[in-house]
Amino acid sequence: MKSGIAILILIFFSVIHTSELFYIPAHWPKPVYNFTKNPLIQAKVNLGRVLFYDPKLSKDYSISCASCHSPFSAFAHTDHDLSHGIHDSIGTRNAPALMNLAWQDVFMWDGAINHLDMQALAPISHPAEMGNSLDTVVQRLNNDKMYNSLFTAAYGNPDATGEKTLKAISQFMLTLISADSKYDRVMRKIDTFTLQENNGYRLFRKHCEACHKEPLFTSFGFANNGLKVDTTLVDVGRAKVSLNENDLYKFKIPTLRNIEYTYPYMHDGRYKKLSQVLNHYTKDIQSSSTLAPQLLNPIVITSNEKVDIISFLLTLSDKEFVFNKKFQYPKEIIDSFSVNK
Amino acid sequence: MVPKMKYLIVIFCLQVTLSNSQNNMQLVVRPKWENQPMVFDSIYQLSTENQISFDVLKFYISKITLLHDDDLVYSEPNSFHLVDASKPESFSMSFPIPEFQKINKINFILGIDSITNVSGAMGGDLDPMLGMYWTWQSGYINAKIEGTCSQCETRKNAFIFHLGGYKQPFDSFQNISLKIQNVSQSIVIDFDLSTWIKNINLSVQNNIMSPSENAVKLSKSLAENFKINRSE
Repeated sequence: MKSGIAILILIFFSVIHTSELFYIPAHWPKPVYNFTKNPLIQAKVNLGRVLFYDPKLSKDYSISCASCHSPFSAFAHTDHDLSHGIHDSIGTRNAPALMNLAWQDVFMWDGAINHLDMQALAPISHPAEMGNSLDTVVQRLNNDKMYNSLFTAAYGNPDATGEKTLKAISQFMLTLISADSKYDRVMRKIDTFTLQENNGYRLFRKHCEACHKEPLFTSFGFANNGLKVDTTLVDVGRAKVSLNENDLYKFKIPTLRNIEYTYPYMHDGRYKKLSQVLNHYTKDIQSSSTLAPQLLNPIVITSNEKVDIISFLLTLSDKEFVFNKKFQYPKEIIDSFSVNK
Repeated sequence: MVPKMKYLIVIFCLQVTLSNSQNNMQLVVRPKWENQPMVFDSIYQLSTENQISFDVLKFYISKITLLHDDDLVYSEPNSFHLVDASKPESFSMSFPIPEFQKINKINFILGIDSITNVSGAMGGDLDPMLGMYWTWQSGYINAKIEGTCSQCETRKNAFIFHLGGYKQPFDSFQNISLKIQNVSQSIVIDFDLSTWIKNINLSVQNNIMSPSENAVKLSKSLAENFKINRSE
């Protein structure tokens, strides 16, 4: 009986604990991530956060996840069109922003990764990114006293494995929820749009909503949005993974949340400004057999209306998210675990 | 006193029989070249003019079930085994089955099923740090076979087969069902690498490292070369 009560109390507190780390914002759908296989606890989130910011994950100890996913640009890479890696290598695609990942089922611009847990494997192993192997990362973590303590706190023993390492990185990424922009406050009826923002919202719903669906501002699908093929990259997108010609030049529809911070835009970072993005949709659509049906008819909007749409898009900026100390370099965790060596 | 003692003796005997009523069925999967154990770096005759040797051979055996006359006798929980030719201890598995129970069929998957492929990070033989998981595109590598052959006009005459893929139409894991003479102690399965690789024209096909039609074809023929050894 006593032990039963103790278990109930434990469950109660663990639920409270989880809700501090993760919550479903009002009117949002259910997340797709299976938390029962990797329940969030603070010690694992801490471990994941330290791993996320640690250049030890890369072959030459120079690049961390945060090198290309900076908290201050909503975990994207400001000013860099293509991703960077060890030895100044340059990849072929733009580093995407990271947020609300518990709602996303497949990852990467071409959807090549089928689970959040497996996502980190790709940059760790890619020769033009971290150029390492998970096996080597795990060896380094096992030989590191700070990580011995962090793993003990998270998993009850100091031994690192591939599974534990990947799941801890997932734990930190799952906490990156952005749902506190002006748009969100307006939806919660504690703020109001300006006339211009309101007109932009109306136009957004008319012309953009089909693919950039509220409240996450993506349908999580793949589409060919009519970009001219960059002949220096010749990136076929989703077709590379599916080997299906119906998927040629289709890329993941990205969220528009925090778009103010995540420039440059598109899978190859070709546009630096939102005005260029809107001009693409009104003037530069390249027709092809896989073009998104929503773009078959030209989008007609005036230049004033474009300014209104941009003013609405700026209401998707979430300063609480971008400046959240819990998401930044984990100095306090590293300090406390380094002392306890 | 005496009847009580009788009861105690009966209970004691029952316990002894119960604790002895389990038997361990051994399964051994042996990589072979023709009739001999396959040995890394040994030079084998592929054809009259070509020689071949191997340096990597790993594959998954998963979802093992043992049957008798199509009745399920044993289904292994969390059944994922990475067989690695460089680690002979990985060739043997054992399953608790009731004593005196006969088995005349074994079912298993060569590779990893679709659901497991989309279930996130896992440990043990499924840990992605073991190098049997693709990094640039999610999915387990069901089998890795690498070596050199004079027929391959590649760098260092190398051939590399990483067979995997879990999504249709390129799902390449194979359901295998093998009939056995009634056995109660051990099952020996031989995988003859020679009959598999002799069917491949290595001068043309020597490099597969992603899901594709060819990966599916080679996986099917791989499965056909897992056979019960009836002599042991």
